[in-house]
Amino acid sequence: MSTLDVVELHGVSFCYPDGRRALTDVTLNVAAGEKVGLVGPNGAGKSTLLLHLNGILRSQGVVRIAGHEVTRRNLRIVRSMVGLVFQDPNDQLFSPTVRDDVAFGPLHMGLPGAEVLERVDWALEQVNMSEHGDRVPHHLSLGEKKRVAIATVLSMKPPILALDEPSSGLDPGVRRTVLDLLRGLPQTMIIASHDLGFVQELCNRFVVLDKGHIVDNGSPEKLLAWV
Amino acid sequence: MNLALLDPYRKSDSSIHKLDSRIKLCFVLAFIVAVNMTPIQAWPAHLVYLLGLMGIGLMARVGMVPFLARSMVALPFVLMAALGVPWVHEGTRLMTVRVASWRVVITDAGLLRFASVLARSWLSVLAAVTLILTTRFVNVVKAMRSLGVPPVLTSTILLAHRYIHLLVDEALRMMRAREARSAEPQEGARGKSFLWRARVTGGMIGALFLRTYDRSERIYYAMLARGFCGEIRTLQDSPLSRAELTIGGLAVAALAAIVTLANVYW
Repeated sequence: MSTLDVVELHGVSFCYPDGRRALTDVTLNVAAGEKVGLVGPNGAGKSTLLLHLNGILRSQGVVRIAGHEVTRRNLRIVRSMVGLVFQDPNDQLFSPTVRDDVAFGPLHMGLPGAEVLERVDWALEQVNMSEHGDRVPHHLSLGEKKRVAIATVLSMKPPILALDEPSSGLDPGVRRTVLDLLRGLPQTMIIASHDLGFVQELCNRFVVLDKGHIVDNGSPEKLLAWV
Repeated sequence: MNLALLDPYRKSDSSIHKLDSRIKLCFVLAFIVAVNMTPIQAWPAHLVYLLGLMGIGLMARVGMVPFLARSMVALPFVLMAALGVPWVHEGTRLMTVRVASWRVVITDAGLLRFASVLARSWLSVLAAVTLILTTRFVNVVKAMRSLGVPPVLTSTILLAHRYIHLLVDEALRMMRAREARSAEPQEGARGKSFLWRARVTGGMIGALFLRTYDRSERIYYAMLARGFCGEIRTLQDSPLSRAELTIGGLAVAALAAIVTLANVYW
């Protein structure tokens, strides 16, 4: 466990209330600046793992974010450090307008009004959506929703991004836009995806999850062997 | 899918559209109060109200047809409420109607009151229609919030408005999937019974409820992930400009003048 590891999971196990076991003894370290692809079949536990990173789900084992253990007391710090982007942007974009949604994170971090507005403009600019601040989410295309969903966490300026299926449902052109956008961001990233081409272009390490276990953890060559 | 009923806003860049929604909401509330404080004998005042609203409608270029059509929506409810009015007021007897074994007496004062209820309700609805045609629903609710409506209420309305579109879309997709598989094998074959169809529909409603429930949980997770901890915080509204305040002040002053004149002269 190096001091540079910003994400540390140690012996994390999780059972859903219905008794379904989603994660078993997962141990994973991610160093600052790494972009890690999290791959595996449907129901392997990828989304559940991401929900552990900022304490939405908590169970056995230890999760540490930049040295802070995820406990009830630390939740606010941890949530300001991990930007979680959900698979369905309709879950992520719950506010009346794009601008309100991008402002939600900074507002709830308790930042002063002027800084919130500054961050909203900056985040929308990062995802090329500056012109669309006043639009309502249900009028956006899927690609635009995905980009705004990323902006909603960028505005919190988190050092870590956890993205769930960022390329699902996108046409090749928009997929490329999202890929280029993520590639240009400096954050440490954990990306859960079925789109192997996407993660291969973006990530320098892969973790293969199957039935709640990490079955492989290594280089792109190893990933191809798994496929 | 066309959800025009949910989103009546008509896009335009007229000066009425651009006016701050708080000013518009205040004006509409003041208008409704004024209309209901004007005595019914003062019919010229009511005509001024109507012409005023139509003038605003014309300035906003919303089109007279949707403008008037939408104002009819509330009419059946108003009629239901107003039907009892003509015969509960004392006055000169105009006519007697026999309803079964009852004799209903309609008086002139009652009829006048009936007309007054109709006119006032219609004008009030027309004012509200002007507001929703020229202001985005989101901005109307935000204006309510800045006028002191509790954030819990406004946030609930906004969330419902945000997700009703998704819910309707989901329901339509399910119905389409059912249609696609509702075939009859050959001519003369009978479909299943009404009860069976009702059971299928019941199942669809149940499925829709479960999906909505799941979604609400995911939305809550998304809120938690961005630091939500029970208290709703929103962006501060930009301050009103002097020009906007003046326009609002003048409009409300005009209403007050009409009400005063109507009360003095009639």
